[in-house]
Amino acid sequence: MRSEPPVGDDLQRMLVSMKQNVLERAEPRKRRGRRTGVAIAVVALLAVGAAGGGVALGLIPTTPEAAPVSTPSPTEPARTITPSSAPVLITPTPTPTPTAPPYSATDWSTWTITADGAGPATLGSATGADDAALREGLTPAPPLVDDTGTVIYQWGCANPDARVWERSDGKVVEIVGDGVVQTVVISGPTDSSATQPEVGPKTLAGVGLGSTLDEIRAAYPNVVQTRKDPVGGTADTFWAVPDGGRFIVFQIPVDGSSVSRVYVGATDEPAYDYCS
Amino acid sequence: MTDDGPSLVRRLVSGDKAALVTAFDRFAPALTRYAWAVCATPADVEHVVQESFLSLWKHADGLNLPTGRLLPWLLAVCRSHAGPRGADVAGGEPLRLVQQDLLALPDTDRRLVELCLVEGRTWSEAAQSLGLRPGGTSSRRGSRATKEVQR
Repeated sequence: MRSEPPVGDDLQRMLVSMKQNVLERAEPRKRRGRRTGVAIAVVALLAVGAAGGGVALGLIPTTPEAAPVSTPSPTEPARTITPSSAPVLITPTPTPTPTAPPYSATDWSTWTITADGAGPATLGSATGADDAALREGLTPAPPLVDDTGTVIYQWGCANPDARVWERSDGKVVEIVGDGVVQTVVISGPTDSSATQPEVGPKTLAGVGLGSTLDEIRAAYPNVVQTRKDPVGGTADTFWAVPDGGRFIVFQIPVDGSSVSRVYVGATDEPAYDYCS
Repeated sequence: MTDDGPSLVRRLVSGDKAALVTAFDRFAPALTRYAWAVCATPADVEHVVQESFLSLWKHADGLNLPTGRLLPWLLAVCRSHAGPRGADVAGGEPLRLVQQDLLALPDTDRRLVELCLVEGRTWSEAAQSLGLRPGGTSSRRGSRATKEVQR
């Protein structure tokens, strides 16, 4: 851009937003308590506020004499980045969607993941219409507030369209648009690369969080790997099953061997960084 | 305040998110200014800055910091993320907005930045042309990280 960069409060707001997003997306290396992560995020946000005008004005502190040569192995900022492969196109095969069996709203292991959603989280329902049922088994993610108590993100998430519901062993996210639920995301207790526990709802074929790729392939021979990000994006793999014009997409962490998230929606390439 | 690259990287490798916060607070303003100079929209600026810090987090255990400073590496990564989004990364004009940051660097680091950001050299090419040791042992994970970033 040829305009001058933001300074002062404008820069601070931008930095706060970016930092929050980075911290939310920086997946833990080790299995850690969620409370610790939340606490760090809040402390980080407060720290940005405290950083104040000096940084906002862009006065990076000077650096003294050369530091000792470091010893890590080389990681290379590349000259250019190209996608690792062309996009995969899937032609949805219209098939009748089986009816999900009854479930208990309080026990998400009784929910069934279908092309319509999972349990009470239903695609196409009006924003907030599922809240009462979801509240029976989950709690809304705590809002993120600044040091004055002002709510920054109602759902603890920078994307105001992501309605995040939590429970001790995972969470459910409804991503809304045009006043209705457009995507449902089911995730386990951690996004780390460790083996994912088998918790929560499953599809009618019996796969869900914690399932392996072999199990997915066995259940859905038509599953196709979709999203392949360029360098800098996620290296996790995404496996889509077309279902009645929608898709059920399973995400497997790059260093893991089982499903960490399941997405249901209109795209076979869901935005894994739905909070941004 | 020093760049403190090696110390920050050690903490990042251990999974210390507070180190990521420190790195962000220290370097994000400079990266934001550089990204602002090359990107077409504020949304692109936010994207490339965020992705740069996520790259730092993700690849911390494979970093090659031949001078021990993080800022040159982050700027080079920022350029890498900006290019595919149609950013105008050519020439030296974008460095105008980070001039003060560069003046605070030792000559070698400044030259590293120029080679990568102005001449479009890769990080290893730039380090090699300056006769810098690539640095340390390569862990197994580090090797994989290198492949990921280079492809």
